[in-house]
Amino acid sequence: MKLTVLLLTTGFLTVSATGVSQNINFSGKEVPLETVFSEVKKQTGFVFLFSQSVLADTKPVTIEVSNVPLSTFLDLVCKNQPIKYKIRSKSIFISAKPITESSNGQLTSDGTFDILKDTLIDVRGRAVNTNGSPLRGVSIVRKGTTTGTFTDDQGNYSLSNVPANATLQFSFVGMKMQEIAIGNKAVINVVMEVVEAGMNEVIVTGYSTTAKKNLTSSVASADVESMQKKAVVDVTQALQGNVSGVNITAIGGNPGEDMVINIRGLSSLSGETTPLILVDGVQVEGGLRNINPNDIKSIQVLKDASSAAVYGSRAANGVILVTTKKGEQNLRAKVTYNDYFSSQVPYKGISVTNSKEYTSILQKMYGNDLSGADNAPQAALDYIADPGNFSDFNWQEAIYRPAFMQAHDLSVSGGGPSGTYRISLGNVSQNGIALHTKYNRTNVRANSEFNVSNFIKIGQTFSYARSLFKREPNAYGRGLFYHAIRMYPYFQPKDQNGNWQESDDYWGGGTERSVESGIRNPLAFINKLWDAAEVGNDLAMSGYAEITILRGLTYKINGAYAQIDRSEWEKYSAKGEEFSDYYYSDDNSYSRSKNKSYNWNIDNLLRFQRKIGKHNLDVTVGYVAQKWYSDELGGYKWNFTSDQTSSLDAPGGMDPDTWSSSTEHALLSYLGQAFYSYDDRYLVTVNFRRDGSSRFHTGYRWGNFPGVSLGWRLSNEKFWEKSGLVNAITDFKIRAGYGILGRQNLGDYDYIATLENEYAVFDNDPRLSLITGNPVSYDTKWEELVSKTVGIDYELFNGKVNGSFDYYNNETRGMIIGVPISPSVGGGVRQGNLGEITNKGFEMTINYKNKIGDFSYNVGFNLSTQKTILVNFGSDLSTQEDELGGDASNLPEWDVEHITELHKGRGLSEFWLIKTNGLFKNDEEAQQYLNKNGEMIQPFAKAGDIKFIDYNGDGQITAEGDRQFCGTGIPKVYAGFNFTASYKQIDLYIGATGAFGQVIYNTTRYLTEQNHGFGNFSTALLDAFDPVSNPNSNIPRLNPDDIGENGNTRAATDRYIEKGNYVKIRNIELGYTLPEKIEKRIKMSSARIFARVQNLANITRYTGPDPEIGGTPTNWQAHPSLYTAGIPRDFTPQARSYQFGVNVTF
Amino acid sequence: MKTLIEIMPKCAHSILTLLLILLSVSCSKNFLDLKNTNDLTSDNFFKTPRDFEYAINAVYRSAEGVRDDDRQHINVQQARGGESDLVSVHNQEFFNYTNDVTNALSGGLYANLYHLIYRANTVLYEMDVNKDVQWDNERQKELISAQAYFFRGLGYFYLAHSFGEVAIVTTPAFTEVDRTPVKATIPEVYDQAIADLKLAKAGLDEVPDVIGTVSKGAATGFLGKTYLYRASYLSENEYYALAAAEFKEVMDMGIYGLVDDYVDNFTDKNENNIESLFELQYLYAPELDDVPAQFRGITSVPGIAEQVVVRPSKWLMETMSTEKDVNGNYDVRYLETVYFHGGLDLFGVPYNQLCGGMAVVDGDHYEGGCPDGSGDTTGGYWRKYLNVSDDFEQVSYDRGASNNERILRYADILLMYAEAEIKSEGSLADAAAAVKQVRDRAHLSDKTWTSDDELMTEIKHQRILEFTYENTLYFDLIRWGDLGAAIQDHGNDVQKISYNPVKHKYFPLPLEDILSNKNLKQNEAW
Repeated sequence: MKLTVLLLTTGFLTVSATGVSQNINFSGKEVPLETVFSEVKKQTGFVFLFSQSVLADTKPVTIEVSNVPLSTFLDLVCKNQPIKYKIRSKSIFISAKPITESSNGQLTSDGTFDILKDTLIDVRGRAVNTNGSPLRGVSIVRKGTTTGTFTDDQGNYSLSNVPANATLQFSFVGMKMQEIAIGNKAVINVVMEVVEAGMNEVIVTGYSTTAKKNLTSSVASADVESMQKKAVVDVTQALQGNVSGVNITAIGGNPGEDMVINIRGLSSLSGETTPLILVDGVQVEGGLRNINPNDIKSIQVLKDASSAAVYGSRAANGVILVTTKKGEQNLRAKVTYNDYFSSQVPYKGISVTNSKEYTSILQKMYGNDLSGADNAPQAALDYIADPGNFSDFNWQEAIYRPAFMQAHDLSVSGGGPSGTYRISLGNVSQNGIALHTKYNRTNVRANSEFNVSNFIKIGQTFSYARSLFKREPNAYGRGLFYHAIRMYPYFQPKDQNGNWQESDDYWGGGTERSVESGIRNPLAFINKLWDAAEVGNDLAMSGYAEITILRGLTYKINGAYAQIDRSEWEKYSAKGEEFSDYYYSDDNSYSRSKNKSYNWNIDNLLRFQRKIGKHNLDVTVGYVAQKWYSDELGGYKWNFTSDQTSSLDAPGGMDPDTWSSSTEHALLSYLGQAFYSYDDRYLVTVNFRRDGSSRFHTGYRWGNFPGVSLGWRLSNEKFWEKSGLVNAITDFKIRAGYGILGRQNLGDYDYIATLENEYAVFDNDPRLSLITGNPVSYDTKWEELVSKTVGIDYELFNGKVNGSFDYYNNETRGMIIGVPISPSVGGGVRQGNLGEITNKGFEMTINYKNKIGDFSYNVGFNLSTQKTILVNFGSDLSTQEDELGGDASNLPEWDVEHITELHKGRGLSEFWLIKTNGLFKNDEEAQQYLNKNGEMIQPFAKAGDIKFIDYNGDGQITAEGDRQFCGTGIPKVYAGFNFTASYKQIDLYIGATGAFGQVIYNTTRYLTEQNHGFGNFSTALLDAFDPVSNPNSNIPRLNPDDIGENGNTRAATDRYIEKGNYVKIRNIELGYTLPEKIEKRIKMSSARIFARVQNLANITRYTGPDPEIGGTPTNWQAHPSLYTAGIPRDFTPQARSYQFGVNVTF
Repeated sequence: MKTLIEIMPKCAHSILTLLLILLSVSCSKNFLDLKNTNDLTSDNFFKTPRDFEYAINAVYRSAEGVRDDDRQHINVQQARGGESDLVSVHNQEFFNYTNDVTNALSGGLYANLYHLIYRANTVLYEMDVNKDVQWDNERQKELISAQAYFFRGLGYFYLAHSFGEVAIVTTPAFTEVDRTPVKATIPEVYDQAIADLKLAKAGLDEVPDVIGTVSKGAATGFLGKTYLYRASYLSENEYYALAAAEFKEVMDMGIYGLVDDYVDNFTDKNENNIESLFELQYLYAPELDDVPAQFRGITSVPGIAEQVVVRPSKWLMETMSTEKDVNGNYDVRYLETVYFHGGLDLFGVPYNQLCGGMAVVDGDHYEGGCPDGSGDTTGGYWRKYLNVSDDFEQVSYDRGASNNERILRYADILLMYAEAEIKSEGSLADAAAAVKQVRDRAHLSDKTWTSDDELMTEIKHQRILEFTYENTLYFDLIRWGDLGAAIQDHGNDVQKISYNPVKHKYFPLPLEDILSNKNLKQNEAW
């Protein structure tokens, strides 16, 4: 025995001498030893010496290591094998393990005699990172016990009286845990490696997990590390450009606004179109807005039905799974502090005329004394008479300001052998560049997990977020931007007495509803008239228990609760006479409302995992119950005695209005998920979910949603290795998936008829009548999304390059849309399964990483295309007016009505407009533009008027007949680019996104290039056509009677259509990690400072403020992308900001 | 590793866990059955007799659909029969017989009639499925269902002669099968109306407890009218005798008669009187939301009218003014029907002082008109159904009136009886006696008729005098096969060209109904 020990010790010592420079990377499942040996030989040049008979009784091994010393690797290989090894020079001798009796002759569990069990030794060593710097605070624990220690400032540790056969676990946050068998070694040094995303990354797929390399469906994993380098308030912003196929658009640049997330195109026209978001298994309804980005450990996006099917309903829009950070076992408390400060730079604005230019344009049209104008503003006349009495005011500068922002984040995490914890506290405070806008959020999160015994684990998550949100005012029905670009340039916000003044007839406004009368002093609105805020209290928590019933069989019960509580108030003060117009609410009014939506779910999951030889099976079955509630209560009064009122009970309030509603819906689900693989080569995933929703009538309540996906890892085939492909393509997998997902896009109680209430009269006696309203539909059933995906995953040159490629084809069948009910059976509209919509596209990602000396870098690029086709949406043609019941008064006060249309068999938000062909250079040209009867097609046209194309050839220009397709507002291609690099202490990150193929209707130009009315003009009008002085201009002549004549300024023309392609440089960050010496001096384990620029540049040919078109600050729109993608309206562009911050860990 | 397995027998542990799972899975059976607490819903209604009374009230309310909202439809439909000239630019296609399947006037009537049927069906269906309602007595239940049958029968009566081949719907629609009924033949539609009205007749009281609710007389009258229309529309002559028998039954009830004052049929002074078998109950009550009121005024006379839609035709005024009464005056029915120069004042304004109108603008009344009498002295305006018992001060175009709309009058019973009696080769004397009653009320001199044809001519003439502007003439002309001749005689040029007796016997089914029900086919002529 002693001899053996001596031999082994010698062996180890030898190894430690040579092994330092001989590290091994190896990954494989069930690999025969011969293959392992040849791989080691390839990597080290060491030769193996053995006889075949020695290997006869060995088992294939499953090992995943990277960069471990050769000896450690060989220990793992020989563990539980009847062989041992010796290293001499460049040779490794393999021989049979001698069957020796141990001191007490015990058989060890693996059938060999344990010769080291009772030998107690002292172990010491050092833990360093891959740069060779020592790591402080690495925990070293004897496996299966609570005994252990931490490394000191030098990364050194020592342990006494450890059994020689023990295994040590080395762990450190953010680094791979390593297990090293002591094997009688006295010195064990480890190199801790940062956990890197790669093929071995664990991916959450529904209710279970799998290694990325074994994925058979389209699951994308966000690069959390680079995300956290974007100093964003909302995680959604960070996801932009990070995951292919996940298209995110900001509604605007105001802080706290929700963002629009869309996965693989819009595939339904009603109900929720945002993906299902689960944070630690808790369904979060309010988007990702209120989550502290620093709490996030991983984000995974399930994009196709074969993966998402396990989530059944709601998953049809895709699923975003967020996992938050947890503490690590056997680690001393670690404190991390991050903070940054930022200054946002106001947007420069568009070019509008100053007072002098403005009046000169008016004079050109109406004569020097403006006598040609009806109701010329007196102010303009006064200005012309004596410009010295007026001064210019820059309204765009007045509404956009430099804005400050700061964020702080503190977390403590750690754990002992019986459990882990992590607690974090974060605060972010952001003022928007638009006046009044503000977002302030405080987050608390506490996660913990405990091992109750070897077979029971319990855990919990808790998060709370309190937010204050001040949105951009809906000033007189419009955003600030509208007023700023249209306000008369000589108009001052305050009069000579220092009172806020409002525009009126004198300035050029009016009290009648018109484009003109909408132009009002936004500063007065914000400072004198109006205030509003929204306070949010969001809560999410979950608790779970996991019980190991048998080996491989676990039961998990998870209960979750999430709540979104919003409290809003809005007040108006007394407007006074000069503010009297209809845009304004009642004097001294105050309204307040509370909205609470909450949901809970209970998941029961039984999971069985077993590996038998090359067969690997992982089955999960479950039962989930889920319920959602929503409650609203609100009240309103006006005429309070004071405008400082913050209570509905304040003195003087009158005409109370109250409202309330409360709804709920529930879902029951049975689910199953099975993963099977053979030899890591042939992979099958089967999902099934059966959902029952309270929104459907009893007989149509249940829907079955299966998904199946197959994968084939060609790189694990023998021929792959034999052909030598393996040298270039380390990993290659093809996969295909098919699945059906359901949507319940219905109201909560659509199948329950509500009663109508009227009066009937009997001999002059009115009596109440009540009866069922229009018929309800019992047979509305689940809307189905049939999703097909094929794709490949690859890794080249040992992981230097990796990526994937996907093609998807999603068809929504039986889409729930409003369908008219025949008048003969009662009339009305039901929600019926009649619509059909398809989405197709490609997605690709490619990442390249490399290291040259101390310089390492990583380039990531992703790209996705999408094409949406409305196969059937109930009609052949629809405009937004149709959508809103054919009543134009239901339309928002939109600048341009009816410029987009939906056509059966075509895409979304398509511009159908009259095309133009420049200007008539002279009157003759206009007169020669004739129809077949010899009449002028544009009878009023003169030199300098726009030539419109008579598309239908009927000899006249009409909005009904001459519309042509002029592009779509929805991008065809989205792209994202991420670059990270580090050199010694310095790191750099650059992130960019782009969108291509869309057009934008430049409403800003449309608004300011109209020459009628008295609102301010674009400076482009200074260059208007003039037959004498400016005959080559492309800007139509200034004709005050244009509306009744040629209609140059009509909205439905392609004149305002511009290419919308853009590339945005969103983030650049430069960081510097303090050298160890300094870190130590200031008692930190790591410290980093950084500087960032956000939204550095837009590369685009679009001439408006921001080519990323989201929604509007006034959230009227139900389906922004159906009709209004590509139509900007009043929104604040995203601001550029400069940031400076630190990350420190103690 | 010491697992639980080593502590307790394997199966015990597994069973324990599985029990735990089962416990958590065995969730309440009703987990997915949720209630809408924000609205009144049908699933917690129809539980008490009171609920059914509310529901049947709602059926009454939708009965106004036979006259359509704002009277646009009814006025233009009447104009088609030659009573009126359409002076509005709107709805000229309908007036001129150039309408198509998208026409909103006929489509509106169709939807209204089916809405009435839908509500009646709802009441009948809910009575059927809610077996455990605690009725005060059986009679209460019978009365509710008889009223529902009455209105469903009424609906099918109108559908049968207005639209011809339509779908017969007798239950509320919940599923695709319910929502896509097939078309029935015209006799089948009449059969449905007859069956329903028979059930109504059997179940209703002769004198209902509540004034304004439908009676046995109303059901009997409409049953007779249905027979008569069936006989004349479909040339099924055997139905004339059935019709005559029903009318006779009404006449023999002894509770109906003609009111002395003809105008009492149209104002709020003497509503639900002995002449009325069924009338739509109106009340102007702006303090309550949504009480049905009479709005004929808004289309009738300048100043009251938002816009005058129809004016009595020259032909009509000539027809009505020919026979003077025993005192040498205009027939009272002409005077009460048309407002014309030489006729009665309206709200105190003589016709020739009307000038620009009643001078009621934005609710402000001021003396308008031409006091010197220099105003318009040609043509007339409709006076019938203006609530002439109102004060001038109360009249305004945005104000409704309280006068009920009479749908079935005893005078109609008498004239229909006379017609059915003649056509069924019954007694000429009995028929003449009935016509005489109508003439007597109008103070016309005694007259004798020697042949059926002679009397029939008189009946046709009396129907014009009696019922003009009451939505009968147009359908009478179709029934009698006289519409084509009438159009050739006094229609306009467009009507003369476009009228097609086959096509225009019925209105088209609305396009929306064809589009949303794949089983429906348009009427052949359309």
